[in-house]
Amino acid sequence: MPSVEYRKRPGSPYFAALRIELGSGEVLTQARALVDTGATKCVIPREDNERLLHFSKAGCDGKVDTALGEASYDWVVVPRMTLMMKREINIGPLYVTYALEETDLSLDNVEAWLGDDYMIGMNFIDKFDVTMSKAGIMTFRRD
Amino acid sequence: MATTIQVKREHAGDTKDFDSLLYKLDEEYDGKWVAILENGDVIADQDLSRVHAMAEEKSVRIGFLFRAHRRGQLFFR
Repeated sequence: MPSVEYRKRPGSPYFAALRIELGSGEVLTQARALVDTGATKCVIPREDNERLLHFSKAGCDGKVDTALGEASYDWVVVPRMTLMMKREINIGPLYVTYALEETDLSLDNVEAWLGDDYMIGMNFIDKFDVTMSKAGIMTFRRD
Repeated sequence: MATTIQVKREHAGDTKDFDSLLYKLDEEYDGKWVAILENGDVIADQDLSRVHAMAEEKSVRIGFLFRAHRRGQLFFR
């Protein structure tokens, strides 16, 4: 059963390593994303979409409840979002090299709001078995 | 497919894994956008578009991007 674990510090939120790619497998970016069970949809930064990702606006959600009140958000369709596994592979005198390994935990055609940060929302989380432990480990699994 | 993220020792310090590196950079760049470039440099700015502009000036691609976690309680980002 494919799975990936993310560890957090006490008092910190959970973050996941995320790869955004085209359906062809071309990698567009890799980023750390806040895992936000309070967000209906995933979020990608508007600036990154303008400068790097270039996903076309697919719609606008006009009444999104946020902690600061109601807001409207444009949304795009991300061709593929994949969770990445972080591994340290070499500590050298001049450089430290880490590997981000692709997992089988990916989703195609994910709707994402254009916002201020990378976030994994419930439209992604709901597709996996997700558990949290009091030791601060979040695990994503797919049957 | 795996990708490698290479970080210059001056940025990595004595961190032993990728999570520790990100926590170190969280502390260093509190609230800013942080990019680990493919040449091992680390750049940061409050404005994400400035981070992209700096990477373009250096003609280096961004290998990994994140917003440094702000210190203290978190209610809304």
